[in-house]
Amino acid sequence: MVAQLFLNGVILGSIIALGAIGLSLIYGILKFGHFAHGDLMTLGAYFAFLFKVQLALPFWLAFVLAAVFTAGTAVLLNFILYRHLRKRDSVIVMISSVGAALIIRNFVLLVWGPQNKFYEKAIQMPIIIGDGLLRIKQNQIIILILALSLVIAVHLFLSKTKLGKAMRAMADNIDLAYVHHPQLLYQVNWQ
Amino acid sequence: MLSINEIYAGYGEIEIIHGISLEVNEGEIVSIVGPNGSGKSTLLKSIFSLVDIMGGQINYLNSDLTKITTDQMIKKGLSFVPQTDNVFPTLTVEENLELGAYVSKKKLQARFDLIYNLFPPLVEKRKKKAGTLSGGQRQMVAFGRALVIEPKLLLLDEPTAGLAPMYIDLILEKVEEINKTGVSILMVEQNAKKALAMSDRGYVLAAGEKKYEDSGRGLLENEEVAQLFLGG
Repeated sequence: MVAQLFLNGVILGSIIALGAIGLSLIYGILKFGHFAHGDLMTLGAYFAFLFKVQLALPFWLAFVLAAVFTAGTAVLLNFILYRHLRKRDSVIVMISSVGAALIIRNFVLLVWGPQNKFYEKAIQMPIIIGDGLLRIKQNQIIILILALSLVIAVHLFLSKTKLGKAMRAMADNIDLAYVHHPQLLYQVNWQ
Repeated sequence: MLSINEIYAGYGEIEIIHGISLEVNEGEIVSIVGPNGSGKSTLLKSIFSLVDIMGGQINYLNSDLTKITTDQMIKKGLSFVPQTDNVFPTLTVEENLELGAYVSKKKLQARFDLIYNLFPPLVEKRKKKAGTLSGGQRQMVAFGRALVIEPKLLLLDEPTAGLAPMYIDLILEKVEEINKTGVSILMVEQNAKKALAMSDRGYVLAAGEKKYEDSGRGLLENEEVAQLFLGG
């Protein structure tokens, strides 16, 4: 029982971990609390629903398209909202992100409605481990593997690539980063 | 190579530098000295467009620095070492150096060799986070990063500020060594006597204006300068 609860917690935690990485990256580098981050994650789930269920595309294609569209929405938010407030107090940017969160939330309600949606309606049989001690479903295994791979990928990106190192440098000391790589800062900020 | 012509600069509405002219010729070490609040650092920052320029020109290798971007300045071999917070503390020494410039791996390795040669203590610290280093070693990292781009002119803002006495002479010796490799130096320094002794030329500022200019030795031997600014 405890082991099963622990496993369920790890699976749920790994979904939250992905969001937390994004949130801490934004806070570390751009220095504002991005309140619309969770709503962007929700929008990503609905994009996946659109491609996988409504347009009946294959799972992996729907997965990639959902990621691309969510990232695109984040870039769009930056272009129409955050970049204009870049020189203002970070509290102003944070409050604008609350507004962005409300817009995204209501956009989802408007397009997909308030009812629960399902990617698959069929019953999925769990894999039973250790004589019924642990039960894990196939999609939960995929969530675990994907979350772990993405965490490792983000770590490698930040520690091995030039853009990743520059992002860490910005989080460390933005004025010094400006002295060395003003152009790169614009790239990171998508300006 | 650098010629500042009647520059007025400051922060927002507040003018701190009131029409200062200054020159650095190729291969020279030039020092800017003066009491606290005389505008030394602001003058240095104005070259790199880190403060607001209200008037005047800054010519460097045939271009007006007030009209080009910081990125273009870096490409033209201008490098700036800030006085404080001049390393990225959570990045390793090697990552700090890497961020000095985006050049090919082979070229970067050659620059690393030169930097480690100049600052041997950094070799064994290269995988350590810069935030764990002593003040003197951090200064070495900051110098190293500024050298990665193969600068023609190095701007140093109080390179010995806050350093332990054992590091002050070492850092100033390194400044001379860097200069001998063909890099011109313009530095603001609080250890005025030491700075002027090693400089080809010097400027004494007070209240945002240039009070004296002469060779380093000339300023040191000037009794008025000695009495007013060098503590007798």
